[in-house]
Amino acid sequence: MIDPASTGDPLVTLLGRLLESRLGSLEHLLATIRTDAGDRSMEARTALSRLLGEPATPEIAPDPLHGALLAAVPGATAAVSGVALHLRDLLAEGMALPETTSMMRKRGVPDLADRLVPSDDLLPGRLPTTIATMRERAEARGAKHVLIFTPDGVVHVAGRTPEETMAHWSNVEFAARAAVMRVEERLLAIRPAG
Amino acid sequence: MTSVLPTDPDLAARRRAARIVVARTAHLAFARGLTELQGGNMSVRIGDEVVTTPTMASENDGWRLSPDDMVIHDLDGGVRDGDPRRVSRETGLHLRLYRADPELGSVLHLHLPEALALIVRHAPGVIAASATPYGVPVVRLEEGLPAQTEPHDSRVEELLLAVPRADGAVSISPTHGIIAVARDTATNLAGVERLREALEHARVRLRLRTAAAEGIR
Repeated sequence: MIDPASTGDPLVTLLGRLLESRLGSLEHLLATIRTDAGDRSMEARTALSRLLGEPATPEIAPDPLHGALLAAVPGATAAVSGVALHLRDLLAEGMALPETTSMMRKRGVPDLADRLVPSDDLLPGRLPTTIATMRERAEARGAKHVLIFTPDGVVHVAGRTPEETMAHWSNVEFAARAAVMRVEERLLAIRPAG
Repeated sequence: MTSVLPTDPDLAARRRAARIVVARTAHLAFARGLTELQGGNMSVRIGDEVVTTPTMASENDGWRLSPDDMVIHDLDGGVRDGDPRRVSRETGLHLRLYRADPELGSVLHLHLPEALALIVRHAPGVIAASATPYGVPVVRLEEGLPAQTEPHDSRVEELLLAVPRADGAVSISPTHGIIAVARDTATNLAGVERLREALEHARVRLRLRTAAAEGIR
């Protein structure tokens, strides 16, 4: 067995757990943690390499989008970005956005619609305005994390702890899978199997 | 020759590290659903040696391998360490690919279930078409090239050498499985993961599109 915590690196643990959950995809999956020495970012492929025991790859520079997200959440220590594959499918096929899960609603995200931002709004020139808007929305609803996603299904979250952030990120892909299943159930009602 | 592992002067330490990488790769590939229990084999290169999984690692061991189970070869096929009785029949193909491209650090022959279902139905074109939008270089062999034969292995080599492969490339053999290559194992596994996701999500998209045609959104 490979224990995602075996390397002792919290970034490897975080990314390894996301992969282990089968909710995270390796595609564009990136995590950042805030430490006393500054922010550290790591791509999932690097975490996989460390878990396998391959030679250490150089650290990448701290991700600027994650830095902005972390600055928007008081006490935030972790940020995660990655493609939620079922969300990408829904958006690509023009389907309705997923309904929020009960956990999302309890954590101050009653509707995913106001977390969808055009990809261009995350470019450096527009990022401060986008983050400020999202921070206001989060504060207005008592959320202790910031969650945004783009039309290509990439979800970005910053939260207080790595575990909490991982849960918020996973919840979006989980909601999207449930939405796909609802569509399939309605299709089955029209075209019964068997 | 490029090594995928540190050039540790201690040969035993380098071999041990490579054995661990292959054992973990076997575990992870199975745990992530990238291969199943009917076959497959995996290897990494360390300098002028190649560390491979033993024969029947799927059927006999269920991919629960220890580092000591691995077999270490020179690039010409000689066994330098490990049990010679457990040399995989596919070792020749692995070594051939490493000899052909000194930059290759990982070769995986996997029975990727999503791909096998299509391969068994003789629909490898669906795999290539599904994978293309996701940026996974996929090549496919013609029918009628039995696995573990010179014509098969020669064609795999020819096709894989014709595409960019440092970040992962996959060859599909009808009725056999996939051969994936990359500069290192993490990159190789990531490439196969992308292929799996591409195949899985091509089907999700198809169902959503069918639903949309019925007015379901």
